Amino acid sequence: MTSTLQASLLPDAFGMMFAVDAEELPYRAEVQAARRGDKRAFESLVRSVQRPVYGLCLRLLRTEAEASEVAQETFLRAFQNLHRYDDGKSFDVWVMAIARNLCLDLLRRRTRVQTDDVEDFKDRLASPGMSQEDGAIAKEERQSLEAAMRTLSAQDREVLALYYVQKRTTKEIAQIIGCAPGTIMARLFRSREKLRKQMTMHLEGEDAR
Amino acid sequence: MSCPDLETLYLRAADGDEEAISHLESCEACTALMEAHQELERDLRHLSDPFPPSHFVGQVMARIEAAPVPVRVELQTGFLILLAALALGVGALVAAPHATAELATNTATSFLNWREAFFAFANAAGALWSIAAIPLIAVVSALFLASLVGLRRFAGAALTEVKVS
Repeated sequence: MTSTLQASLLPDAFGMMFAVDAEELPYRAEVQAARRGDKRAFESLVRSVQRPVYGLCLRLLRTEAEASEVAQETFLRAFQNLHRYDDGKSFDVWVMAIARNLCLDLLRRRTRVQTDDVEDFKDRLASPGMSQEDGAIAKEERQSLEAAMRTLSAQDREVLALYYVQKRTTKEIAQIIGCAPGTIMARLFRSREKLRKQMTMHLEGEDAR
Repeated sequence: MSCPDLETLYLRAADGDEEAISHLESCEACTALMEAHQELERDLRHLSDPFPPSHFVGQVMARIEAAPVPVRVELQTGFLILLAALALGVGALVAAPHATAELATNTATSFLNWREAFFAFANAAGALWSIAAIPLIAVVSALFLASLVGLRRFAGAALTEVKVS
């Protein structure tokens, strides 16, 4: 009874909470080759992790130009600091942490919130595995969701993006944002609750029109 | 029935707390909120990361090519060159045992006659000073300045090395 209730009522977040780490970390061979100065190996690493890195930058910074610039800087710093990378951790998690720190630095330096380019990436979000009709309906829903997400703080956006969009475990998220893994579920809940309120306000606003 | 704080309820129910679970079973308002969260989670999972611009990887690699060589790599290269030179020298000595013996004899002789060697060196330095004092000062000054510039560059690069978490 208890397990049935938990499965039916509790959000899916707990399903991924205890995900088991893969025994063999990916990208190990490429990282070792890149450390020896093999730039082709590093290029292969960039190709492998460019999308989540750029995605996180775009969700945090909200402008394509800045996201691209910061993502490039992230990879440059990763290359220059490969000797500091701990082989016991996942390479993509390490790079994501660099990207996240650079994004937060830039957000702190910003004197005003730039909204001109914010809409740029709305239509660029992929919708894998959907028919055209489903895609059209889903596109509207996604746009509402993206719009509501943009109203949240960077801290809320990052935790939602890392968990739901990038499907990362709570342990990985804790490594990226530098906090205790046990706090992630509470943070996720709070961020989701803020998002739910935003979505409710958005829907009420549409109904009133 | 008074509802507990939603976050507390959610976290306690997730931990298997019977009281929280029974509240969720009986309270329509809390159940509705939990269902709203579930729906939101489903929608969030449908979002995906956008693709970076097509020229992104090329731009990254161009920046890496253009970036100055890190100090660590320079030091590593210098150390390797030093090791190679040392290995070559030792190899040459081992390959020519007569030369090694001769070098050892000469070193021992020089060591025994150190006083003579010292005076000879002092005389040579004095002669050089009297013949070419200005060029000597210029060469020593140039070497000193080059060392200073090198040290400054080394220290500057070390200080600007990026901070990575």
